[in-house]
Amino acid sequence: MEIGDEVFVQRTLAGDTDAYSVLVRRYQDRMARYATHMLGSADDADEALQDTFVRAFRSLERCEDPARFGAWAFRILVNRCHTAGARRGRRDRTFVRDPIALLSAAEQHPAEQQAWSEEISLALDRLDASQREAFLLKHVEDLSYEEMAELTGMGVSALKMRVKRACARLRELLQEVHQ
Amino acid sequence: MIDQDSALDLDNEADDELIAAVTRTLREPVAVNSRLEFAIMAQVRAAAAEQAAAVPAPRVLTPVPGRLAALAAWWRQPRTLTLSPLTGLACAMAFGGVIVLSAWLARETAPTTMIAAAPAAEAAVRDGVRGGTMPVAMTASNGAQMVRFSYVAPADAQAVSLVGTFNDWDPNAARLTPVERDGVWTVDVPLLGGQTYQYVFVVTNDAGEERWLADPNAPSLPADEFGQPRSALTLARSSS
Repeated sequence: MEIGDEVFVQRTLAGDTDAYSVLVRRYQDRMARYATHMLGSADDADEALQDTFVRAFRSLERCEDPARFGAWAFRILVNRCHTAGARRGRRDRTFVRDPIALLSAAEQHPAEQQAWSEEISLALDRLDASQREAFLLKHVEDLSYEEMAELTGMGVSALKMRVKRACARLRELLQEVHQ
Repeated sequence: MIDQDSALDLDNEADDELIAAVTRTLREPVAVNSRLEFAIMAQVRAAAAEQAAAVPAPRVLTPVPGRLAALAAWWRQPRTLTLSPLTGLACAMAFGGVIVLSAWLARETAPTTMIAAAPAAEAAVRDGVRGGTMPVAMTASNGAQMVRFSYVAPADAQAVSLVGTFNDWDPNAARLTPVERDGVWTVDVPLLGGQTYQYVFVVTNDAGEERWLADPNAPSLPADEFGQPRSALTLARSSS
């Protein structure tokens, strides 16, 4: 049975900094996936994750439910991606393909699968950022609309509409490739 | 023959299959930088050391030996002073004179390049405008003006940054500091005159949540793609 997050949170608060590395290892993969898809760049995702975990460490005393450290840290990441995405979008709206990430993907997948992944990345990038966020939280992170509302501060109806529009746009962009 | 409703159902089924395929692909793990954990933990240890250093060391009182102890006791012992009314009046006048002289000297030595004070910002704060701000040109040299941004942040604000077209929307570039007045944060930023800038305030609360907030006292621009607000500031070209 896995030891709960609260144990490592308490150890960290008691001064055992190494205990925090368990929490980092436990959640970095899921968080990296969200940040990479949201920001469209491994470098930006890397920066967002570092900032999130350090920020979470600094605010650890204010984590009200240490048993749900992962959900709390994910909330910080969603906010961080919001800031990073808005900044990137304002600075440069051109999608930057990450050569290292693509190379890595190519090693793991056959060419056909890689081409499909690239098409999805491009389609995601062509979504409105708020729709991309809603789609990833709903369909990839598998959150309920209530959880999404708590994370983003948006109303459930607005989020449903964003997911619906995101799906419609993805269908439009990917229909030909998928067939 | 397939009726219209059935055709729609078939379309939806195909659509769902596509979205499911997209979801499957996106749920696959992504390559994580192998040094990520190392980089995070290095920063975490630095932050822990910083926090430890910030805790004040317990104050240790040491006894003052011999004559020094006697001297210290003399200074601590209360005394009763007897003054005539005339002497008391003279002392009060001398004290008042020092204050007036200090104020006059401060006024005389103040920068003469100040072209506007902060009355509007202070008025906004006085009037209880939450989140209010007012850029204030303080100095002008070589076309650059020092502009003061003031912001009345909520009580749970832990950090406030100013981001905009002048600092590449970088939340670390211009951090506001809280001033004496309750809830008011300010930062001074050098900006070129004759240009229009976009900006917002990034407020981080004690739960680590960031919010991008427009300046309610400045013209608003249409929201960005996240639905986030933006404010506009147009600086007049400096006359010098």
